Amino acid sequence: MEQLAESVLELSDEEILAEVAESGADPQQEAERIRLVLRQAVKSEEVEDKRVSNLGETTNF
Amino acid sequence: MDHAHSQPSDALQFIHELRRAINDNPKGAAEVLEQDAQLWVELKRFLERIPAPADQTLPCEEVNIPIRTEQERLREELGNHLFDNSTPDEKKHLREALENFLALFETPKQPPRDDIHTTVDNSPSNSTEIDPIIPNDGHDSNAAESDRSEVAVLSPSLPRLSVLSSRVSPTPMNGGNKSALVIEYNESLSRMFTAFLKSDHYLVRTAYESEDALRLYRDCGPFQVVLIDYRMPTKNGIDIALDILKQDPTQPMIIIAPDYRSEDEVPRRKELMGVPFLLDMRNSRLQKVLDKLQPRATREEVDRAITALTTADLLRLRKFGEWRVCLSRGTDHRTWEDLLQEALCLTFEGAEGGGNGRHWNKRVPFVNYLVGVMRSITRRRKGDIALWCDIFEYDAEGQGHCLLDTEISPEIAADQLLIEGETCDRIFEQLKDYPTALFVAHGLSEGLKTNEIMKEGGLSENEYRAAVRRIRMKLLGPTNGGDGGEKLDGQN
Repeated sequence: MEQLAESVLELSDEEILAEVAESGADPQQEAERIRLVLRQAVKSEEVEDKRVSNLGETTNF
Repeated sequence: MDHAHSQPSDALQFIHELRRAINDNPKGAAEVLEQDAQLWVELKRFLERIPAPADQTLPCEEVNIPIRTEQERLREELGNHLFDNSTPDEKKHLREALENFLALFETPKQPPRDDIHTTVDNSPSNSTEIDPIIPNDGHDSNAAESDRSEVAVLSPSLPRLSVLSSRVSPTPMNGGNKSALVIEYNESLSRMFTAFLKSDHYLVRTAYESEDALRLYRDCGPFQVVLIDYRMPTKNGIDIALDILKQDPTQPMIIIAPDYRSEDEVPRRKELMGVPFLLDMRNSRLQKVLDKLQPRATREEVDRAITALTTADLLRLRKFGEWRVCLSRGTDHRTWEDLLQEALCLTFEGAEGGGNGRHWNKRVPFVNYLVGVMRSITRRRKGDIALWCDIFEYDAEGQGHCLLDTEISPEIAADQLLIEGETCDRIFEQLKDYPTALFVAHGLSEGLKTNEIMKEGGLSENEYRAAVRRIRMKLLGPTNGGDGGEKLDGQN
C-alpha cells in the first residue's frame, strides 16, 4: 500500500494543484496552512531551546 | 568522453598512472574502473589509440613492460568484472567516478593563459624544488587560495615533473568558502580526491608527507575537512590526525583506509572516536561522508527553506503525510501535522547525536528531505510492530510470554496488527463501487508492483493512474477536512 503514498510524489505540480482544487479547497490557502504547521514546529523548537538554556543558567548558579 | 590524450607519451603516462593506481589501491581505483561497460569502452578506445610496437616499453621508472602486454593485461584485469550485474545507479556513480579519474590524466586543451600555466622539468630528482605546499604569506590567505587552488606534483620517481596551477573563482558557486587538505602520499589518489573536492567547489591543498602536512595545517588550517591516508609512509595517518587534533580538537577529518572491510578492523581506530573512516573509495561514498561532516542545519536555514517551499511542494508534503499516517494508522494515533512536525524537529536534533535525529544534506531539496524523514519515521514504527511480534512466545493456551526482561503487553502488538488489517478492509469497503480502483487497492495491499497490477488487470497506464487517483480522492477527499470525501475513521 505504500505505493499509494508514493504516487503523490509522482504527480506534477499542476496535477496536485488540480486535485486539491477539485476537492473543493483553495490550494493557496491550504499551502499557507501547511507552511504554518511547519513554522509552528520551528517556533516550538525555539521555545524549547530557550527553556533548556534558561535551565542551564539556573543550574550553573 | 573526448579524451585529451593524443600523444603516445601522454598515453604511456596514462597507462603508467593507471597501473600504479590499480596496484596501489586495488579496492579503490580498480573497483571504480572495473565495473562499467561504457567506461570500459572509453578506456578501450583510448588504449587503442596507442601506436604500440611490441618492443616499445614504458619510459617511466624501473618498470619495463612491453606496451602490448601491458594493454592486454589491463584489458584482462579491467574486463574481468566488466559486465557484473551493476544496477543503473551504481553504473551512474561509477561512470562519474571514472570520468573524474580519467580527467586527472587529461591535459588542458585551451591555449596557455596568464592564470593557467604548465611547466615541464626533465630533471629527475628535483622534486624538492617545487614545494607542493602553497606558502601562506600571512597577508591574505584567501587571495592566495583563489590564485592557486591546487598544486599537483608528479612523483619524484618519474622523470617528468609537472606543476599545474589554475585560477578558480574566489567565490565558490555555493557561496561558501570551503577548503580542504588532502594528505595522501600516492599522487594518483591525491589527484583523484583533489579533482573530486574541486568539483564540489572546495579549495584544495595537498601534502604528500606527514611533516609537510602538519606544517601546512599549522600555516593554513583549520580546513572544512582534512582527508588523511591511513597508510602514510613515515607517520601513520592516525598519528597525523592526533597531531592535527592537538592544534584544533574540532577539526573535521576523514581517514582513508581502503585496506579494511569495516571500521572495526582498523587498528587504533578508537583513538579517533568520532572521526569517520572511508573504506570505499568511490566518490559517492566520499560524498556521503563529507555530507555527514557538514554542520547541522541552523534554524535560519530551515526557516529559509520553509519560506522557499512552493504551493505544490507544501500540498505534496501534506498528501504524503496523510497517506503515511493513514497506512500506518495501527502504529499510533498521530495526524499528518504531527508527522510533519516530528520530521522537522528531527532535523534540529541532527544525526551526530546517535539518536533518531536526521541530517539535512543541503544538496537535497528540502521537500524531498522531509518526505524521506516522514517515510522513515512511519517505516520505523511498522518495524517496531514486527519486532514486538517477534519477542512474544505463545504457549498452548494462547498466552503470550515476553522473551525479554521488559514487561510488554502482548495485546498491544496484536491490536496494532489488527487495526492495520482493518485499515485495508475499510479501504476496500469504500472502494466497492469502483471495481478498477478496488482491484488496484487489492494489488497494492498484496505488495504487487505497478506493472504487475497493470498486467494482471489488463490495465493501461492511464487506467492505472486514474484508479490510483480515484483511491486518493475517495479516501482522503478534500484537503481542508470539509465535505466531499469519505475518509477513514479518525482521519483528519
